[in-house]
Amino acid sequence: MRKIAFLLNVLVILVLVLVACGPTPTEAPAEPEEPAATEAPAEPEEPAATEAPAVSEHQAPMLQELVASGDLPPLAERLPKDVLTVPVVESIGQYGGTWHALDEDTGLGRMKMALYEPHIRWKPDYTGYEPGLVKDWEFEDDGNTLILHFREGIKWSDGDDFNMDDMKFWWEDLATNEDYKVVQIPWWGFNTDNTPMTVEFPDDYTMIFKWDSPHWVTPFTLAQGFWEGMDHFKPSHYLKQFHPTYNSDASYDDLELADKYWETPGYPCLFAWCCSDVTPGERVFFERNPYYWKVDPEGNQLPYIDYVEVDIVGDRETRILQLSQGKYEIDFRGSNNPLDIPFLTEQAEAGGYHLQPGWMNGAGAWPGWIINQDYVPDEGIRDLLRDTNFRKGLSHAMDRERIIDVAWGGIGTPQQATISPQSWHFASPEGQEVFKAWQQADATYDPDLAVEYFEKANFTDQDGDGLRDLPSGEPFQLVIDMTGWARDEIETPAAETFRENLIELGVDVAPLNMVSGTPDSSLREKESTFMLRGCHASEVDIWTYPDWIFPLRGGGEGSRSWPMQGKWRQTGGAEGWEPEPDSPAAKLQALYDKGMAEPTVEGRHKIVWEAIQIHIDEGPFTLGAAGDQPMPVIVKNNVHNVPEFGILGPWAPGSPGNTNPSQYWIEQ
Amino acid sequence: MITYLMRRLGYAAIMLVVVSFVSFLIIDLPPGDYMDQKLAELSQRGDRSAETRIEEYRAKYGLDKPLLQRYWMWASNFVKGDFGESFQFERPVKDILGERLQMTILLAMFALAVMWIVAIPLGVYSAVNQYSLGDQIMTTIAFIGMGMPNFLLALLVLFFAVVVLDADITGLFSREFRDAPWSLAKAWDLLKHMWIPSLIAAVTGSAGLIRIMRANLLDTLGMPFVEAARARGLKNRTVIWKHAVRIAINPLVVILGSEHIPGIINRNMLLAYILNLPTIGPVFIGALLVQDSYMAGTCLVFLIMLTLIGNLLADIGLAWLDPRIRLE
Repeated sequence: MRKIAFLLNVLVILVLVLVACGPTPTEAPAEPEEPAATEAPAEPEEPAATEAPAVSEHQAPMLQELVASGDLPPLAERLPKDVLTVPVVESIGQYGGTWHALDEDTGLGRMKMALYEPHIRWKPDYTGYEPGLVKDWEFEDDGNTLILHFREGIKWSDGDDFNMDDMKFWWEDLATNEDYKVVQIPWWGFNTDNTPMTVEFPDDYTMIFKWDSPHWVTPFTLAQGFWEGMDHFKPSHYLKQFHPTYNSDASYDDLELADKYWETPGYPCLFAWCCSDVTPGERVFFERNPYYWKVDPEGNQLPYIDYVEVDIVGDRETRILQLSQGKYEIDFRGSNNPLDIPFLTEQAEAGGYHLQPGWMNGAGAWPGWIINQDYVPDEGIRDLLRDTNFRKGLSHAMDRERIIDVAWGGIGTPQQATISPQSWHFASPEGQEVFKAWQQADATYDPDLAVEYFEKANFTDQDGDGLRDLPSGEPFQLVIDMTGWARDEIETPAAETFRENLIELGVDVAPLNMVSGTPDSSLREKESTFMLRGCHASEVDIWTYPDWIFPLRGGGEGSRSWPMQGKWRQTGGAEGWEPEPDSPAAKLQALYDKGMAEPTVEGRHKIVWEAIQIHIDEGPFTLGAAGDQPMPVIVKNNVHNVPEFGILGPWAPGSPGNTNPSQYWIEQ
Repeated sequence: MITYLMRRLGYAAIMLVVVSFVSFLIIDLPPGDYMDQKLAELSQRGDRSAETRIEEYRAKYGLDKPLLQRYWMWASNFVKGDFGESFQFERPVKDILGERLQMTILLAMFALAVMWIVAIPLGVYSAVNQYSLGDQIMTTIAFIGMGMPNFLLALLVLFFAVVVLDADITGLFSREFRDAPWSLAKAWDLLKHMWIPSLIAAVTGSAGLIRIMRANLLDTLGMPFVEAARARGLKNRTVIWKHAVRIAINPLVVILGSEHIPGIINRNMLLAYILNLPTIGPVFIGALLVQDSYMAGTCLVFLIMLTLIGNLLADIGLAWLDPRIRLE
């Protein structure tokens, strides 16, 4: 017995020792206001202080103190010549506070959406684009030359000048550097013969791209999410110490490890907040950039909020519970699920927050099902899937109201699959008409009409087993892949409901449940062996991300309904299948080329409408059940200037980054 | 004794190689790899530039090489202390696990201590007072504890704590203490957070131990030597604790070695995932889900190592506790 007691004692002592020598905290984030505050007034022997220029009050108190103590140059020296004035949503803010934010994984994708600063950005209301780091841009040479004029005098967060040395570093030392694979030439940065575009830097603030074909869309491509543009803005003065060309002791692995602006403390950035501390996999701490180049309409330097602290929480249920406790000032994608709205609303009062109205998903189909036009394993099935009558029959067989009731608890609009209703292609009255027509195309629930269409497609029961067979007489089973793309909890009941609709009409259906995120489902896409594939469709600008309308790419690389014909186009005819003349794929590819050569935005909108007409007449190529659900965006009641409109489904517009998070403020 | 130890360690090394290879193989079995998933995720988000990079990543992590070559690459570096790089974190596996190791051991030890301190006296009580009201209550609770998976209990407790108590319970520290240096207040804060995982681990973990302790002690109490001890006029207390429990505890020592020591890594994995604890468990789950092979493989190898060491320790411990057992 004594030995057991001894064992227990050892255990207890071990635990106590471990508690005592627990992890020593990685440097506590500096709180600059405290040391500065205690030191400044404690020096009465310096009467010269009265002569020194008054510190500008158009900056955060924590910076005023740093300026007063001489640790930071005055505001006027820190702001660029071409300062960007950001309109405020509701009021001029107060400085201070910490924005506690949530993210799902260490890549910090959700936070990057709030932080990033692109060349050119989406307007907060999604009606078009506006200048960012680039103050204006122009085309020459029929769209073959793009000239980008950067703002003059912007500084990195450590005070170093941002100029074309940095862009040159990106292009010459990283993107075109064969030895460094992490940063590559962007996909749009090639001539038609696959040689890289030419990049020129005539002066410190101008960058010129030259191709051998028109690139009217490229400025807008630069505005796409954080992933297109953020690779270009590299602090060369900082990164050169890790670059083998400049430091013979360094290796490219060192460079790759250091070149992560979202988790490298002290990495000079151009954002409102820069990374200052990190606990990998748990938490990242951001601190205001004293050299931020944006001001509010009264000339106060932004951002208003001092710090951003991001918690990384992998489990969704835990995130929702934490959100419901009001632990996070502003959250856009922590829940990311309209089904959480009732619970979050119920807890709002206790948690001291509200759900921001007007934030939508922007889904044109949630859920939707991509119909494979290039089904590889069987020609008979492929012909059926390519038959417009069959597809229209499927669409009319779907009871969308019921799917919305079963899967969504009543949230959303029944509709055919489209891109985002809020897309700028549909902003004009004419555009609205096109959108309405697309949204309602074959979207009625009409089993009789569906049967009529099936019969037109020669899709009938030939062997008398009560199930419809292929026109050749072979039995047929329609397989619906559930991929998790539209969320398992939505896709599964939706597919099940659709299956019931179809079985009533004698269609044999098998939903195939892929565990979401497993490679199996991507493999079926890659090899084009799926029939119907669950999806979530949304896009605000189709030219920068064309796949929902135009077949341009192969399976597994962004293709939607035409994996093989897209592959053909992508590989320049080397692989895949050539579209038959006058087929939808051929017509859509031709329209895409026409759009790429069209210099005006309005002209391109018209081409989108033309392409949509093909989808209406010969489609649907993607079946849609419901769309445009609202999203739960959580804002604490003491937080201001978060707009009452936004779109979170498509990532391309970079929401919430386009709504200027630097002007959000927290009541102190 | 020395030869015995050498032999056991030799077997352990062979075992380690075989099991690590098999687990590497199993992780690799599903079609596709991590980069397929990464590409799918990025393209759903609308990232067109990702495609150009994905093949480069594949080459960088050696995913374009055959399985045997990859295993050899990883295993030979493993011996040198380089566990490879995690695909998801894009950092060395060693760094990620290293940062989490201390909290993992701390939490596991704490839960273990709670479990044992609860289980042994209750098990003894149950056996000695068989079929009493106390025993019945304990049995009921123990069966619920055994039947309920700890992650489910964690979700229930979480919901209760958040919605009813409005307590701050996820993670191990409150915000204000996360970066603070160690102090009494911080230790108190840690205890305030640790009661949930410990309670859950104790309820679900002690249950089995209580039952085993009870059953074994009941067996032992009926044995002639106990009777003989009683006949010699020894105090009841002494008979139970000194004579009976000492024999009956052997299976618990085996469990300690073979289950609880390797359990440091995986025992409360789901629980830690749900409570967002900074331990190895959640990383391990994440790695298995997305085929982050080197990360998952490394966790598995450590798990196996701990199992082998635990078994060895259990055997040595048993020999020490019970003079009838000899190591041969």
